[in-house]
Amino acid sequence: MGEQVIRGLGVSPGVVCAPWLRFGSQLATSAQDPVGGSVEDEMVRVKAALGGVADEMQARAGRVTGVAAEILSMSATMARDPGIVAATEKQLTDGMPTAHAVHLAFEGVCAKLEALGG
Amino acid sequence: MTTRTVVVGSQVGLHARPAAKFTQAVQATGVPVRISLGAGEPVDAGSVLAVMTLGAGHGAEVTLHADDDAVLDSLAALVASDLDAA
Repeated sequence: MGEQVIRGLGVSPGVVCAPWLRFGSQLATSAQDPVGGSVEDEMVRVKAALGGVADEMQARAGRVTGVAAEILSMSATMARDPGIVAATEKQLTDGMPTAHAVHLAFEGVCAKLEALGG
Repeated sequence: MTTRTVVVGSQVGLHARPAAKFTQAVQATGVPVRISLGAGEPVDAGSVLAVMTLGAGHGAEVTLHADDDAVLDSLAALVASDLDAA
């Protein structure tokens, strides 16, 4: 393959370098979505969903080695992050619909990381 | 509540893999630990996202807060080391 310039935010050098073909379709949530059950009940669902994502990433980490395994393992840790759980609970308490509450919790972290330079 | 103030030793700062290693060590202690950057608000040291969003770069001074001196000593040594080297 000939030389190619790939533009973007470089992370984890040395693991893989390839053009990004596509993102999955974006899930849209909104503050106007129907609100679910009690905060307590919804938090059970949220933790189960985040745990499912974390479990899948951890399983993928088990199929590779080295830095790639560390990155997947860390992604799993982020999915279970107590800060996300706490921020989601706060959004639910403020009356946000469940999926949107999770979205806002992650967006809060994204905004902070962007402010630090990505 | 006692504290240890320590200089971040990792070249990339307390970010990415060093942040993950630090957070895992915190969780393994089973003790509530908080971390602050300079004179800033302490955040949950068991949350990798909270630690990463502190923005503690190489050479930055962070303060660890906990009730356990032995835990503070071992975590302070970890923060001072280059966690990205291993």
